[in-house]
Amino acid sequence: MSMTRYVAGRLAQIVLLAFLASLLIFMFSRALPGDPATLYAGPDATAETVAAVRSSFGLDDPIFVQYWRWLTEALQGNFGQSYNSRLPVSELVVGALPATLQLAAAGLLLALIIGLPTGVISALKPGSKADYAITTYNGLALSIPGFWLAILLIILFALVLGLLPAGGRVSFLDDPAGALRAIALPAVVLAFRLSAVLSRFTRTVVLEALNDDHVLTATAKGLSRRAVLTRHVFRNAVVPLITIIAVEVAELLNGAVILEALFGWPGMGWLSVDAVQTRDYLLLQAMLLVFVLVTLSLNLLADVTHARLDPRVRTRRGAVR
Amino acid sequence: MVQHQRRWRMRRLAAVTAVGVMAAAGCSSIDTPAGDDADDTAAEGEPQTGGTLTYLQAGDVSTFDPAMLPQVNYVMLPQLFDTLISLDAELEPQPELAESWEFSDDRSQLTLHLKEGVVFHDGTPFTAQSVAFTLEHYRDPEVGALIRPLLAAVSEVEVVDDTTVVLHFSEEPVSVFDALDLMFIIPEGDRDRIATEPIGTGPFELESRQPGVGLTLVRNEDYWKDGQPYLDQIEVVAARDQQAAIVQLESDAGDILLRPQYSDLARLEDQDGISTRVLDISPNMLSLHVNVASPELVDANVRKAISLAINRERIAETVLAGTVEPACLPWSEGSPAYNEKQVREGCAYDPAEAERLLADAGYDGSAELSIVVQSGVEPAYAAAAEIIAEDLRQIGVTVAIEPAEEAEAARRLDQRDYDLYSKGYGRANRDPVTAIRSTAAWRPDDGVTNYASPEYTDLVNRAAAETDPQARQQIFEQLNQLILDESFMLTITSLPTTFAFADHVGGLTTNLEGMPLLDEAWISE
Repeated sequence: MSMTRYVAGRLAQIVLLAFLASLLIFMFSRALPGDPATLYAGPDATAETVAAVRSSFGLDDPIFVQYWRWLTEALQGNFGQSYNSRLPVSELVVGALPATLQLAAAGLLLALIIGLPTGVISALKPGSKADYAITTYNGLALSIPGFWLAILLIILFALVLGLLPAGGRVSFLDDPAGALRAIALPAVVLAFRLSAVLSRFTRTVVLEALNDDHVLTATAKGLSRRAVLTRHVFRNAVVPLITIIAVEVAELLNGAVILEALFGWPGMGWLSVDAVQTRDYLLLQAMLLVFVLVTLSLNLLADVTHARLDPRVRTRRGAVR
Repeated sequence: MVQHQRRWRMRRLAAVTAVGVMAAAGCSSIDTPAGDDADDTAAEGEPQTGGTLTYLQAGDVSTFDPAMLPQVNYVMLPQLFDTLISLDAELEPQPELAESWEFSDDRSQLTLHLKEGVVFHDGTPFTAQSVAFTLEHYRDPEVGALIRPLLAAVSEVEVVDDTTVVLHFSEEPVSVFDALDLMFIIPEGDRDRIATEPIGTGPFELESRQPGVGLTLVRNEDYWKDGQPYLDQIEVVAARDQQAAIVQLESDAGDILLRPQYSDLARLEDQDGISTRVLDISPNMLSLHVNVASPELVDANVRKAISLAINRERIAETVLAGTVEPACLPWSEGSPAYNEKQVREGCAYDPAEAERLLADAGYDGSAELSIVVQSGVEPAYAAAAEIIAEDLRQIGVTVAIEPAEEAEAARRLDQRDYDLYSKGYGRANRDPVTAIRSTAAWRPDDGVTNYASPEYTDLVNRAAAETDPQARQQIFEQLNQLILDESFMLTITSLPTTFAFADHVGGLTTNLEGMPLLDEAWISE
């Protein structure tokens, strides 16, 4: 099967899944108890007022009419308005996206810088002091809850030392130094856990590659250690690594909900929590759709890269491990 | 929005002297509304022009439609908009955009004479047409304005000329000034843009907004009050929650925080460079709502027993950090219906009597009553519920606290799906009829406690129609007695407005609703 056919097939799959997801997402939002009109009108509103507000939100129409209206308008790029702020949903989502992208990128970068080298070192020197230290670090990083670490760091660096801000996001364009200081703590907390995941995975993958038959053959042929590593071990290790990175990135892009809340970081995670709490159906639906599409797309990207790098996948004979 | 950390350290030094003065002054109360000579905030000396005030709050501003009054919008409403009048602490209307007014002899008409030469932020002039348009907006049921029930008496709005408006009433306009005190004036224009593009006559204009992050307000150079505002700019920072906001205040990333929690007041007061204030008269009261349709709670004696079993004193001491006295009447002290004697007699804590009443009523303690609390908004609700639950267990009433997130809590209230509900209500410092008609808790018809009776409705209507203060007093006394006897709303304490601010902030006042008024605020740098 050629690459193009493979990708085309997968894209068609995504479109179909997105449609199905949109239906489920719509139903799910409406199934939540409580409604936005009651919330918007406030606890002292009369029943008449709440009914009038509900009607102005278009929530009186039959459910399928509402779904159809939403779907058709969404396909034209109009995702409706937030019930609370009356701002266009697309504007809100697009507004939150850069913050999440920025945080995801910073966290990922930091995690890669720490995780990949430590994983490799750990794999190349199993049982050594370095390996032991790295494994301990990984264990800690995976077991320490992110929110606990976040609070600790805020207390230390913002309150006690006064070096970094306690929260909020600063735009890089406005104030680069301030932006770096604002992103430092949340990126570190994100990277902490992710670096451990990457490190462990890298270690496993490199170890397995080292023990592959073809590596043994290459060494036996007399290839230098370095050549063996770069040409054979790492190349094969990269493939599954891409997959895990793609999966983790999808998670990052969906927004680290708790961390964004703690640091007052106005990204996708924060926005989606807000949408759920205020039953902002249209905003919630758009966000869930974005999550679904991001996850599906990244998985596709991972698979395509995998297929590109590993011809065995394309020929559907599967990888031999 | 992120302050230089250096200043924090320098300010600590400078503030040490200020703290000495503050420590002497203590955590005193100040009077509320503008018009009073109430510049009790920390900064000493004359107001200085200029500077940016960073205002912290938990949660972001929602819609810019001034008809909606969620607490998160309090910061921007009086800054962007003005009202026709404002009520002072004695509930007397003071001129704002309306210079003077008079009732017709039979009080069926109110003529308002408007200020001339005032312009909106977009340059359009403020006229009687603006007032008529504003009223029309507030009276539209789809808008959902909180004060709509208070405008029910208005039958017609007559624009006489550019500076004269006449309101015609179909019944005694008992709540008209309460309504006008909360009616922020908007210009004629496209109603679809009201929610997203605020245009008012207020001391500040909206410069920019970042949803979820905050907003920036800048001085309105053409403000009609000469010499004001002093501040160049206000940065409103929407923190994720109360704790995050407090952390920002403590780390010098903000200047002022409205409504820090009562449990945090002492700690904040102890901090260098930060002062706290608790306001005297509060619009908000903490109350246990009792669903009279609940099978166990149908008998008024059972409800009375519950009221007697609640240790209000303890709640005032622990939950409200001793900032208030217990209450059991719906009204705060400034209200015309407040009655010292009835408070003394009605707010008794008598668990023995409560048990006796329950026994007489043949109360079967097997059923478990729910106390619903909305989590995350005001910790006092949950903390009070805990104490109440324990108090009730003492007299043999089994209760279970049921926390609910915002939307679920709203649903349960709306559908009367609760036995007991720990919650606050507002406007307790206004005319009692206003409070009753504009709150779901006290409404005579379709009240959220399901309580209704001809006597109650009759007393409320009589209080609304009566104009003689003495006669009204008597009606209120009867009303209070009915409320105490029927025990469908068990008021516990008031919920005073609090604020915490850096010592370099001065000139802060609030209006009757507890909204911050920043037109006279200033910062000493």
